[in-house]
Amino acid sequence: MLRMFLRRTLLGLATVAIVSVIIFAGIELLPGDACTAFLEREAKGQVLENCREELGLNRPALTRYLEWAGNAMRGDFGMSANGQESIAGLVGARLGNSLLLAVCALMIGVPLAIILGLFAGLRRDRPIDLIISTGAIFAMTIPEFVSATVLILVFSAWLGWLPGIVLTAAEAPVREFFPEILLPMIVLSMVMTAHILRMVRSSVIEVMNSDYIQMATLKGVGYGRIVFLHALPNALLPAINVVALTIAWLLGGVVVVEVVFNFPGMGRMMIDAISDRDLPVVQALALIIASAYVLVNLSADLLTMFANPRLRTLYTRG
Amino acid sequence: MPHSDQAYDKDVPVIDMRDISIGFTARAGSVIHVLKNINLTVRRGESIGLVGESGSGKSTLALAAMGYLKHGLQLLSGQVTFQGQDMFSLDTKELVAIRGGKLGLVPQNSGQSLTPTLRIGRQLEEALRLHSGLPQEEHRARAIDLLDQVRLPDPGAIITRFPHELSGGQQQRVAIAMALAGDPDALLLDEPTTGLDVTTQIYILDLLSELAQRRNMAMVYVSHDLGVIARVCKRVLVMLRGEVVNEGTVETVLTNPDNDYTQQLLDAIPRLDGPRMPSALDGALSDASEPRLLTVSNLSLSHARPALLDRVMGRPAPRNTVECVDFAIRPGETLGLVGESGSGKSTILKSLAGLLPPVSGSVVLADGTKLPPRVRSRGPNQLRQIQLIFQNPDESLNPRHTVAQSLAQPLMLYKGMKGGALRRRSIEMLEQVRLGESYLERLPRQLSGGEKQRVAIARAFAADPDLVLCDEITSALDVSVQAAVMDLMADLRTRLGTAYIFVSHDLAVVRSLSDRVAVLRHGQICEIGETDDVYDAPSHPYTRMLLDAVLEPRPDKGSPALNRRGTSSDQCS
Repeated sequence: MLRMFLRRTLLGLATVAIVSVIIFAGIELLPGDACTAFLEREAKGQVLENCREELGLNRPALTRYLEWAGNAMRGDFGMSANGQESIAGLVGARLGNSLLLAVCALMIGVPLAIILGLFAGLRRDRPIDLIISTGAIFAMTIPEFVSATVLILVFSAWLGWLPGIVLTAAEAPVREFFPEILLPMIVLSMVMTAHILRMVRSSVIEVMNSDYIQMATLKGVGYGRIVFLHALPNALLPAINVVALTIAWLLGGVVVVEVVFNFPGMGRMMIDAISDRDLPVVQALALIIASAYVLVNLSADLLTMFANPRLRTLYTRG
Repeated sequence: MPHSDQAYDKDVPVIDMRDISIGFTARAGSVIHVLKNINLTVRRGESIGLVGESGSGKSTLALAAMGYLKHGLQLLSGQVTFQGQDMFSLDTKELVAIRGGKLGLVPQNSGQSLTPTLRIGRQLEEALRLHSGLPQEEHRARAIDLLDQVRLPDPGAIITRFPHELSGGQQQRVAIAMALAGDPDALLLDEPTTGLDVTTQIYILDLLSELAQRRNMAMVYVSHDLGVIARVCKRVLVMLRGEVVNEGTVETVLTNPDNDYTQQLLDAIPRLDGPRMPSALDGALSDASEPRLLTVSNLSLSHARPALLDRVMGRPAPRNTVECVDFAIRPGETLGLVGESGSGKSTILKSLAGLLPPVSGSVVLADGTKLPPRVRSRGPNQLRQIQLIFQNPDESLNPRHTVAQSLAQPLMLYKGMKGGALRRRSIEMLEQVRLGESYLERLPRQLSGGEKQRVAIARAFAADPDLVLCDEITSALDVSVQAAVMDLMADLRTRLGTAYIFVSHDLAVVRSLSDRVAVLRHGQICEIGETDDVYDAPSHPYTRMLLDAVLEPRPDKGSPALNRRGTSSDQCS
């Protein structure tokens, strides 16, 4: 078990290291650097040279990569090109906000997905399954900016129940994000609920057709106990990895939702940094998002292993 | 409505099934019968055997006694009563009280019938909580006691295990213990000893007989094995395609069967000392001077592509699964490949099928051309020549394709058939594997294990192959179906002159079908020769060891003395 854990962690670290090289190389290949972005029109001749000298941009790429990577490991991503602020400080607040949004969306989405998926699976091909499954397909296929806009229109513009966009500053304490966070949260949980629900549904159907459910039935076990004790734990195993992918997606990729709602999270920060040509920030965000992906997937694999007796005992009892 | 705990008359049958017909509606809308007008009465203390191949409906009949039908099946006519209660009209609550309580079941596939995420102890205690009436704190002790009764070693440790940590034989015994937990008046046993070694089987059968006698319990015993039935049952029903074809006391049915089918069933079980099946004709042996269908030289195969991490760290590549193997096949010949699991038998088949390119070595066809290593670089004719049948028909047939669709693929691909010709040929193929036109529109889940494997065989033969690779094709099947499938393979060989490479760990199966045998060990052939020579006078010590390890399914042939605790052969290491 420990060996397995170490192996997977090591592989995860290796992935992050390789990704960091790719990110650095990618930024390096782009025309221009921090100085041209900072100096804009004045970026020529001696001024540019001086700036590069000052920031150490004239040194070989390998030296700069090692310095960047080494600092990043200690949590120091350097300074942003524009405001000359510490990137770690800027990102910290944004990361917190993205996490807040992700956690809120998960807390609604995961239980909802499991309940709806279970219902749909148990009532396969009945009206309730058709309604849930069709709804899930809609939720998956409608682009987030469309559902976001519709929700803003209905709940904010027409009904006036919820604020349509987030006006709170990035550094504000958590409670100030309510109720502004509710609409983006609903949009996100809709999509993820749909994904997880479909997985849970098909896995419930498969498990309910298995020999051990038949056996439990013929052993005289009541229906509720069959569903919750015999079927659900087995049906949820394959769902863990889908949940993990969704979490990773929530942490890194919810750019559209953050932009539509003006939510100060990582996705919007990334967009802003790209349009400002703030390369150090882009670099730092890309690395953080990649690490989050690796971390979440690693945890999911370990959790699957722990929740599945077949895998768990494989590593503990030899 | 009388309740199960109420007193009932001794002469009233415990289980009474009258005029039972069960069937399902096929895609076309027609009703297909699985069981036709069956009558079955079981009284207290009586043991009845249901014998037949899989697909004969014997398991369906047993489950129907519990008021249970598999998904898609429906009761077309008849009535099932248990202790006077009509099982198909009870409500859920009443059913739940009877099932697993007064009416117990030992399921066919105990390995898959135990919930994988629950420990053995919890599953047993659940049965006790539902049906025993014992106080909670005695459940654990009773669970251990039950496991001890079915002769499981170290029951105290077993209850903390998960199902997958037990061997097949141990799982089977857990299932029996679970059925006994409810203190049943009647027990339905669906192939209860199939996964057990001989000594344990005898012990379990005697234990069941004794329990039945002591507790005056009724038993319905479903098995393909007439020997098993003979040991525990007084009366036997022989079933074929959903109908009872022979019924009577065990003595009359076994010694003087008035039905051809029963006689066939009696003859079906392969024996290690019987040289070959009657249907495998000697004329199928090819002459040594005949051209070779396929020549394998110096073949080395490796499964494990070295892991990324290992390659980065520069660790040496793992050793080859198969190392420098040479053999040849003559047209129409059957070559058996035997060896322990992990000896590389299936790996060789995979490579011949083009699924695993060799590390080194070559395969040359009859016309002298080299067989391309990968399936995608093979021409249509080369693809047609070699067909593969997998071990598990559940996984090799597309669950969403009807039999017709599965058969149509090779026929369209290799023969360019369509329309009426395609349908006629499909029916012909089905008839060759002794299934009929009525199977065309069925989906795999509407077939039994043996029927599925026959469809898989029909699919392989639809391509009109020269060589069929058989990867443990009978090991997922019960013995009567195995006999039928082997019989079929022998028959197809005689009629079509197809060569087989037959991989199995079952030495008796290999003997009954093969002309020559190659014994594999650690990826190398340690002995190859004519089947009779290898079996009668093995020249390699490993072959002798393999042959000695086989347990003969007959009590008189020096089966090891019964020991109180489980034998080594079904221990989980």
